[in-house]
Amino acid sequence: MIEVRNLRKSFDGFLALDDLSMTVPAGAVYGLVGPNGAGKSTVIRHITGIFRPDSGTVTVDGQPVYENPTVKSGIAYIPDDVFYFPSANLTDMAKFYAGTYPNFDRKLYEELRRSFNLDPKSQLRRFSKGMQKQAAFLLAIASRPGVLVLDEPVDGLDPVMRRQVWGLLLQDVAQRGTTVLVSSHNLRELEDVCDHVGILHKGKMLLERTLDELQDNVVKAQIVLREGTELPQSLKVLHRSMVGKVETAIIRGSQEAVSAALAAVNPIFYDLVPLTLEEVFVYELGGVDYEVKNVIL
Amino acid sequence: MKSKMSFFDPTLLKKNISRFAPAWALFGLLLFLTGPLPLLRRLTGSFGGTLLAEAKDIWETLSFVYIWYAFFAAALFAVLVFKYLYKTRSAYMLHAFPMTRSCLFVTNAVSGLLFFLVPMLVNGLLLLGVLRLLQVSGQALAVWSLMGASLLVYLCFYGVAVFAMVLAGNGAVGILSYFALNILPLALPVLLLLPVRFYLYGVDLNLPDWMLLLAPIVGLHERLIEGGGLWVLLGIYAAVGLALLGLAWYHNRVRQVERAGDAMAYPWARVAFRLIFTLCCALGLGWILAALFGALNDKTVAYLPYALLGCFLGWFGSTMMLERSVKVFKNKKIWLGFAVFAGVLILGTMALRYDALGIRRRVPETAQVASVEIWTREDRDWEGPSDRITLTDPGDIDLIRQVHSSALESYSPNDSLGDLFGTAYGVHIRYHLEGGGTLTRVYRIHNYEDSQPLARLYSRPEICVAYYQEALPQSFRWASLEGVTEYELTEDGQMVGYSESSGEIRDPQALREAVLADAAAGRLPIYNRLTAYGDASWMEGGRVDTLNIYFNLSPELGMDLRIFTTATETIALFRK
Repeated sequence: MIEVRNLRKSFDGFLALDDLSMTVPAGAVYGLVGPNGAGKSTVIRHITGIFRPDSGTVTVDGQPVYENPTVKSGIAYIPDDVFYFPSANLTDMAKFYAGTYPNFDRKLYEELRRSFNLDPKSQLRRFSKGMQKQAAFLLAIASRPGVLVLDEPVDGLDPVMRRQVWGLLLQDVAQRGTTVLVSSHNLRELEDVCDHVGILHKGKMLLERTLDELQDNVVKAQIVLREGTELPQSLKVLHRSMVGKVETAIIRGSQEAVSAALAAVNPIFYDLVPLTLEEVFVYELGGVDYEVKNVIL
Repeated sequence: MKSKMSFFDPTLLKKNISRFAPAWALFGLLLFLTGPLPLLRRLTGSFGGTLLAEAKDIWETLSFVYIWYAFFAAALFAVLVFKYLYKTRSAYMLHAFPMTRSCLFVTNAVSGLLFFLVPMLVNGLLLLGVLRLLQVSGQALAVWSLMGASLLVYLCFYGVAVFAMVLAGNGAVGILSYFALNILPLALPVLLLLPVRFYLYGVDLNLPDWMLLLAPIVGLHERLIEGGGLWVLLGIYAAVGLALLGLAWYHNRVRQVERAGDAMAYPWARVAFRLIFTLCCALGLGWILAALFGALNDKTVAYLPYALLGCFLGWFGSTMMLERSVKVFKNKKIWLGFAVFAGVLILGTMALRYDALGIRRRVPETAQVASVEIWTREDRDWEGPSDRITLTDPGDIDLIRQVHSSALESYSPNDSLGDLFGTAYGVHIRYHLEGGGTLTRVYRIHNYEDSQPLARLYSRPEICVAYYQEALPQSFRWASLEGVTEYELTEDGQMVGYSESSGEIRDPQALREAVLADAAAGRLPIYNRLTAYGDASWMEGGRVDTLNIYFNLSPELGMDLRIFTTATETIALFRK
């Protein structure tokens, strides 16, 4: 489990993280979202032990991460901009990882390398960006980490490659229960893989929930009401819009409760449609003029 | 599982060795090309002399060459192993690996040491191999001494280089800082003395010789040429290098990796960088500009605008480097900082120019002076010991004060720059004050008449006796006198003959008695720069004033003493 408590970090007077707290449960796939400059990468660099906090704590399984190789040997990190030693090839990097990460699994590495079809003797700097990312995933997963930290992991990858990378990641989670922290400014990407989501804005954690909590609590209804009838007052409508006679309403509450309330006014037609994660966020935070909307949409 | 306290990572070391193999292999090749190969060629070729002499000649050359190798290799290897700090991508990745900062630092630092040490060790073995091949014996110690000395020199430069690389946030500033750290301990006092010496006429502020040692590259050459105490100096330099490595390690522990790419990685280093850079520009660049535009031809404050221009360029140039932006002119705080710096520069310059503290004008009262030393020349190999004499008589002290006052009265702010540094014909005065302090001045005596009261002191018997008692060596292997005492000239100045004086004696006591007898009788003044004698006079009358006695003190140590041809008893002793 990753625990961040009251983390503060400033750069030349600019407060990048402001008393931030978050919890990533063991075995969770946690999506950290926020606009550019929200502080996602800064949080991740604290969790991977790169940055020293100004104040606050960052622990993994109760142990501080900073300057703690024992804990860090169980964390694999894939930055948004992957670094390899200049002129190194995949074999060189694998040797380095094998010497650095005590749990590095050479057999798994070979299997993955073959499945990704990456040339082990070509210089990594000659690989395309996508192939470099694949190599990073390969090395990270072969390191058998307990915690996998990914910063914008599929940014710049084509859809096929994204699918392949996510598949590899989820397979590892399913097999070994790896805790995954993944940052993105694209909620659509995270919706399919995350079970926990935290939204970050201007160095603060705005909201931190499980995906189920979020999606179960807000419902999108498409309704055609009879003449002279209105939506029940008991419903907490977050947003409504009308196209022709069809009214679309975003309503807070469980599917069962909303359905029962709508049925009570005997509409001509009504249907409850599942919300996408980004719609949930937009309407949950609808009253707040956050740039979050831009992030999500 | 890795230990949390692990200070070394063999995997990273192996990676460094393989990654940077081209660099250290090329360095090894360079060592081979300038060590074993020329040795082999010279020892097997026909260069004349013995093999041993050839080998010794090569050691001497290599001792200089290896200093420069160490100097540049230190910068190169330190940049290579610490360059990951200069890009966020590499810095973040390396710091994300499961190793402590100390482990990263120590492993990288050891890598850089090995890049020098291993090729140098192989080089030493090859040198020994060549010597053995050619059956030159007794040189193993010399080879290992050379290798050991090179390693100590490298430790010094490498410590400086690693410290510079850790302080800096990018490679260019790292290398600039390396050169600056090597030379600034000497260059900064020189720069600070420029305006002081320029404005404070007479204030004797020559840097002491030991300050050369503050810049290792200068100090090592100086000591190799002068000889003596080299190993002690090497030990001190190596200790300084190790201390700097320690400081670099300490700083690296708290380094903000997000500073990658910045000019300087630490707040204090940013302040120091800006101040030192500006100071160097204000004084150094300002001085050069003032010289180029002819503003150093007078001692008015005409120099000041150039210093301010240098200050402006230095302050805003350094700020641009630190901020990584040229858009620094809109920041009021930066202008305020510049204003403060420029204000201090103006105040300091004006204070010096108008002698606000009365330093230039100060002449101590006779009652305040316990004794006074004067000298017109320093120790020189070809002239003998300095003509420094000490005066305690109040009348003599008063005479010196008068000369001092007269020099100040004749001072003109428009004296040429040459007056400041041209101390060859000047007289040094050092007052030893009753309170225990000293006051040292140097003045150029502008006309011959003014110099004569001082020159006469150098002929006074009791002063001469005291001087020669000190100046004569207590013992020597032999002393020789050789030279022309008088030329025979025709009326039109053609030389038709000359008389020589020569001889050699081995009795220090006899020589001492003869010299002191001549001095007591007023026949042997002290050789100085104020008395009229020398080449010009013999051309007129065929007379030669001075001769040299050479003292052989040991097989490798000699000393000259210049005497006058009026010292008849001394010359007669040699002629016997």
